[in-house]
Amino acid sequence: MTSEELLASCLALDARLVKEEKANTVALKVPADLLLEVARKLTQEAALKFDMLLSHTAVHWPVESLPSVSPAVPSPAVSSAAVSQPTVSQPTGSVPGETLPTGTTSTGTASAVPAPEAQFELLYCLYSTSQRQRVLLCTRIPVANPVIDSVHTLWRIAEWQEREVYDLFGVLYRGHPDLRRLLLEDDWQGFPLRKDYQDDFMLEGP
Amino acid sequence: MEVQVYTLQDRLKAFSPEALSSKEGALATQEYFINMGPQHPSTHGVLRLVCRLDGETIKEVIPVLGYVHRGIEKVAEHLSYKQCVHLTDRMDYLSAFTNNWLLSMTVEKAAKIEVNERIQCIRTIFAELQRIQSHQLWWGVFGMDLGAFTPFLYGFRDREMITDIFEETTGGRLTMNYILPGGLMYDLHPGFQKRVKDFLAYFRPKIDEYEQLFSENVIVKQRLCGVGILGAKDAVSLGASGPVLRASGVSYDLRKDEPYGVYEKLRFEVPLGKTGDCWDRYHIRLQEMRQSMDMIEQLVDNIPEGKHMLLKPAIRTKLPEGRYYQQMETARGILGVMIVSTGKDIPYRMHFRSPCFNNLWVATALAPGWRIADLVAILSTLDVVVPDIDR
Repeated sequence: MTSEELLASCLALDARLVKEEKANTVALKVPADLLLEVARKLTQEAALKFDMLLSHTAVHWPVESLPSVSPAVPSPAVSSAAVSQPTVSQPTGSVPGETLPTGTTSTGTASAVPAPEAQFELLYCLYSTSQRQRVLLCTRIPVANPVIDSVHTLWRIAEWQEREVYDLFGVLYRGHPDLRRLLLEDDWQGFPLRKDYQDDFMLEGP
Repeated sequence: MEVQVYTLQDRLKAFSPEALSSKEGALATQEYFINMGPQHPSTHGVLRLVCRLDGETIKEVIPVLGYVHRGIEKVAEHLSYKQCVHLTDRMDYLSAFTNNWLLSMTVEKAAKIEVNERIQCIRTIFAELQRIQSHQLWWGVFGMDLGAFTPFLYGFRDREMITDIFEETTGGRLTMNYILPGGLMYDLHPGFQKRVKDFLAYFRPKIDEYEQLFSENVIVKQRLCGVGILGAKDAVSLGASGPVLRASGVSYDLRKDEPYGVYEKLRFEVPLGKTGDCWDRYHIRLQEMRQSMDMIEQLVDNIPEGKHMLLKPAIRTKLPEGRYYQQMETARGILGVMIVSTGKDIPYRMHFRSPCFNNLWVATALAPGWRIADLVAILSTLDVVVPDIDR
């Protein structure tokens, strides 16, 4: 099986799957709500049988690192509305200010572009011992609500690897039987591999 | 919060005297728990295993990690790729060359740096020498774990020859920092080929001696045969790799399946086990040492000419934006690295898929039902190096 054929048969699993271009292996972008279902199909499909989870890790993308935050996004109306929301107690001259709780819906068109939010990218590297092929799954979840389905029912090693990601990033795995810190102590504050992590012992970089 | 998180204390509540089950009867018994480690000699470092026991039989094993966690992945986010190579020695210190090589190869492939045949050939020889060296140390310590002192002395005696070969060329005995993106730190020492051939001539009969001394021993056989059986399907699902996976009969060796270096041109076999018990995991490593010696023999007289370093020392390599996953076969299994780059000369995120981290998980599935002395044998045949687990 060539990598093009592998990609085609992976994409055929679900219409919402997209190829991830910026990777050195066959890689798929998977919507977070589809992850468990796609992973199950990848393990069960007779021509694929991805029976090994080689590696699982996460990447933290804060708001400033996301490409959509660049000035190219032409939505000043949205951002100014969002910023002016806390200052609603000012003089009631403007009509939109009257509709207090929902500053964004007041302008009607504002809900078109959602404000970018910090994300975790979860990477799953799978291997098929029968097909001798590798595939990479990339899923994005918001940092504000970092919940994703656990895949430990498909690969038993996932229970262990997911605990490492929980420990260092704070990703919460739904259905995980024993989600607790793995490398750090239980009373550790924060999640060190997040880009915005701070503690008292950190030194200034060069 | 819909997702429940736990602490170790929560897990250990099940180990409190009230919670542990007891049997009434003529001979009343009660379960108990012991801590194996963090300073137990057979954990080969600082690893703590909390064991729930019924008599001598293991009911449950909970590994507690993190005693040598140095945050290598966080540190790497502030260093150039060439500096990161020096961190990798400190993970699995018995596979320092392979660790260096993996990171260098990933950077070379991503930045499209071609290295010449000489560099590839020397890298392969060193990686195979290191595999032998690592297995020698494992064999010695394994004997020690089972209560035999002689293998420990034999293993260290023979390992010294390889360590001297390393020292002569690289200046280091444990952390070599030898393989860098774009080539090698130094060229070969003039006496390298002779010393390697001397070693091969010396070690071939010695490995037969290993078999006579230890493999044929009745006590060893009874401690290993049929103990801790890991089926092929379980091994794959539990994420085992390297000799642990191949002992279960799954042929997955990156040197054959995804060849790198000059492995494609070499003649060698991948030894496989049948049942996946401790004996298979033990014996497969002895066979691997023989295979490695064959490989080195094929290479040592055929090292091509060429430069040993292709990049200028001050260059800070930049990788194009993307996700790069590469893997390599160390003495313990698959070492993988995932580099996420944003186009800068430092990695945005670098994650290591370490073989020992994944192989240790096998122990929690294997140990229940066996005696506590078997746990030592099981753990020892998994051959974990703790700094590689904690990173």
